[in-house]
Amino acid sequence: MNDFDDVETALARYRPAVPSADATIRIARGLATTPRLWRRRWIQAAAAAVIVSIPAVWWAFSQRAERQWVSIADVPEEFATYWKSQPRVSIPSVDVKADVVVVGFNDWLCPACQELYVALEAVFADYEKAHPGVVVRLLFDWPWEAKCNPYLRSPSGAAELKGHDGACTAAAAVRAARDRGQGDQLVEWLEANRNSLRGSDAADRIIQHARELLPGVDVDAAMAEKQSDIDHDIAIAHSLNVNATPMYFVNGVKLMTVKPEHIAWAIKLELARRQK
Amino acid sequence: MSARQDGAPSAAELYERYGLALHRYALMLLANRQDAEDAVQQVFASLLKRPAVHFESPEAYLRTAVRNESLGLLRRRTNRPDGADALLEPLSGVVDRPEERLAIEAAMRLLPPEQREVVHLKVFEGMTLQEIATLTSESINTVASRYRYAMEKLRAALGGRP
Repeated sequence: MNDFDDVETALARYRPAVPSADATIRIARGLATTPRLWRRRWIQAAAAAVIVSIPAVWWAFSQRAERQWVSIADVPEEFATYWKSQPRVSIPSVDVKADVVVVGFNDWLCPACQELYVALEAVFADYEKAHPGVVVRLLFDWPWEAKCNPYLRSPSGAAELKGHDGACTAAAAVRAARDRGQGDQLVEWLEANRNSLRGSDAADRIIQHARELLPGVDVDAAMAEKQSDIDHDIAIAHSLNVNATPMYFVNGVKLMTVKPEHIAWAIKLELARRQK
Repeated sequence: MSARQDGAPSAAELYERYGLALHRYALMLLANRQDAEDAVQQVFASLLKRPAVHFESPEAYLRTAVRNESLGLLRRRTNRPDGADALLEPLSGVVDRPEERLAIEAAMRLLPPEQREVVHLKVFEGMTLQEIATLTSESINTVASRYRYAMEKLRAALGGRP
């Protein structure tokens, strides 16, 4: 007899594995250009014009290269091709003037989100130090908890997913702490305690720590004030078909990834695009 | 996301919307990641070659297409799955238990594809037996039997009580 009390209960802890990133990119890239589209005469004419203008473009590019400070030499060609083929969407409520606006949908109790957030800190810090205001990151809340997020569904939409107990509380607490200059400290604590912040007492522990971090503050009231902002973020996420975290949009191009280098590559490609 | 001029979603849009779920469905049918990726890719490649068709239910069409492609692959396949591919991953927020997961994967591989399919649709996609019967064009009794046989085999393979 092994540890399984019940097969169905054990199965319910899992889901089928995701396909490889290579396959996803390969298929999405293959779908980006359809044969039907290629048969259109104006597409063919445009392609011919592009081919004819290659020498001129190359010359212009070489002249401008010196004025460009971003290098995309380390961006894999396959990723660059994939990136160019992706559609762009407008993110509601985002009115930021910057060359690159990175919008991330995040759950502070999602391990992958935390790891990605930490890994990206250095990327954004480097840009901010060298070129202030050129690359901006905006984090939106998408807590994996039905308490505040009504859109926790499986990819097929058929089943409601189990979430992270305390995720809604974490979102409100981080916002309340950020208003008082303690956001980074709370995020670091959540990261350090992520393995133990599981189960029904997670919310209480987060609130307790927020009270210690914010002495003299009515934490419950401060968090309650933030609920409408979280609802707003979740509504925006829903309008963009966000159904999981971490989910990032780089200048409106969706990028579902847990790899920081993917975000870094996307930023470089967007900077290069702006500097042309 | 760009839409086609006739208002129907493009193949790229359909892949973005349903690709992940279709990959998972094919993986459960084929128990082989490479074959599953090939099946999904083949379905969408075929979609590009079709004349513009407005699907009443793109998800149902794609699911059936992936099912047919996977079953075709199974008929043509001469070698058994090598067992090296990960079939499952823990749900977000669930601590991974590698020993348990690998044991379940091994037991799932022992199931016939049609039983693995019913387990997938019922447990992982939350479909009812009637919905599964409609999708697979089988009677509900057949579907229920497949599910029961599958669970019995899984319990036996995993050492639990039937």
